Amino acid sequence: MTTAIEARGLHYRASPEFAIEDLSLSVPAGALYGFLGPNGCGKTTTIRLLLGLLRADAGTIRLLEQPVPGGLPVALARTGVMPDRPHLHRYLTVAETLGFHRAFYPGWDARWAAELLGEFRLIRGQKVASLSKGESAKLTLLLALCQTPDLLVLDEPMDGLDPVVRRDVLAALLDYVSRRGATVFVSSHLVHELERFCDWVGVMDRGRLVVELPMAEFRNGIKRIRVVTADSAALADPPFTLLARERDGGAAETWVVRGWRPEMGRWLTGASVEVREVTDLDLEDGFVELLRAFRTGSGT
Amino acid sequence: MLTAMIRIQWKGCRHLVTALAVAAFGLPIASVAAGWHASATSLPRFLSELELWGLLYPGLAAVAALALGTAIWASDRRGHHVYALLLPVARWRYVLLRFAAGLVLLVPVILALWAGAVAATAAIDLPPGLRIFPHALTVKFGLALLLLFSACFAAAAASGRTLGIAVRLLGLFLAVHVAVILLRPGVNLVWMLVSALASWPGPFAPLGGRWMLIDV
Repeated sequence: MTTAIEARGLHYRASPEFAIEDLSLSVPAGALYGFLGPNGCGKTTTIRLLLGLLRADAGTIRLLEQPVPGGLPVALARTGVMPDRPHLHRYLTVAETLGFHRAFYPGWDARWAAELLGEFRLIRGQKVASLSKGESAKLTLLLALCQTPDLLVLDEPMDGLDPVVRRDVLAALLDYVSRRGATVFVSSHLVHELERFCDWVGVMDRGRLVVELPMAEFRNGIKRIRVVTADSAALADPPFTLLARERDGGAAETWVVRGWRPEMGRWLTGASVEVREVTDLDLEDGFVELLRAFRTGSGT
Repeated sequence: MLTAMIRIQWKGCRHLVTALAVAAFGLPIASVAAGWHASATSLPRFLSELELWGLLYPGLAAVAALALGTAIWASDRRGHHVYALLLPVARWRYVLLRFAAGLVLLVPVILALWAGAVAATAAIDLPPGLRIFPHALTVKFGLALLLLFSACFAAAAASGRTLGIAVRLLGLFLAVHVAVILLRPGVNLVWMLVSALASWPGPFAPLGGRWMLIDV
């Protein structure tokens, strides 16, 4: 399996209080990779490191098999980016922005750009400075898509957008991915936003990558289990990760586990634990439990 | 790419370039008119009046260079250079594109000065013994503008860190200058540096000398 983005052992000190520490991630080519994490956890800093906007203190990065920063121009020629905040030249009109941008991308799809302008209801003569937040996001996405990239890096693309614009942006994105088979790396702090279309997920917190796994595994592997155990200390070396454990009174306990499979019930029976109920956690609850476990140091 | 860069830079700086071109066109005309009006009867006074006005040419070059050098980077700076850094070109190449497009913006200002100088000298009957130098003045102005623009462009393109290093070096130089003055009062390091930079073969030599549109 080839990788679109590969980072190994990244370290970056952003301030005395915050650092990216030993971050390694691997985005398979063709994946729709959701990069999840609470606000301020380091998602944007990580994206800036991956795109060469910041220089890592240590570690290696490969973007579309090109080393960063050495091979950046080659990699960026095949990468469409939607940064977290507006970055376009404000004094240009929409048409002038398109004209400037296309000069740098030989693969620019002018026909599709014209179509998207119509679909996004963007006015050619309107100044970038006067675009609303939604229009600005649509223009940025249009620029990223029409350069026909193999990789799209989107930093909180839906943040602050109204539902109509969200739908337009998502539709254009999915349309492109289905036609081109491009890799998408999209960050968000909203779990449900990524749940619908991502097939891989990486969860970040406090400058570290907590977990990276296929979305299906993330979705199905985190359960809430109600158990009755005679000896609460008896659970040694379980075949799953115990993310949280609460006493419900008496011998009853509620566990949140990751990596659960039905056959593990037998292992619990052997450990004198009776499973009363297994409940699927929705992605958001799973995400919250995962972060809670990471912060208390009880899960990995 | 260069064409696209010139186009957006023109869009961003066109009002500034127009204003500078008007000033460049008007300066030789105003200098000759003022000199003629004040002292047409006395040749030496006319020439000294023109020499005084001549100080405005390097002044205009400095203002134009500073204004254009910083205006060119203003939009990139506002966006924290993110857009520029995400374009698929090496950083040095992007800077070169910006610089080359900036040079194109200097052309209207230089041409306007040349046109103003030609118009100003064509409009008067020169007293015997005087000669006109519109082309030489334009070349001198062009060189001065090019030099100052390059310096301002480089300073505006520099990161905060680089500027910090430059300021610290300058501070160190001034500290050494003060120490040298205290130890050996006859030695002025600042004056020596300025002289070395502004006289031949120093990089700012075109700024020195006389800026005369009309001379003997």
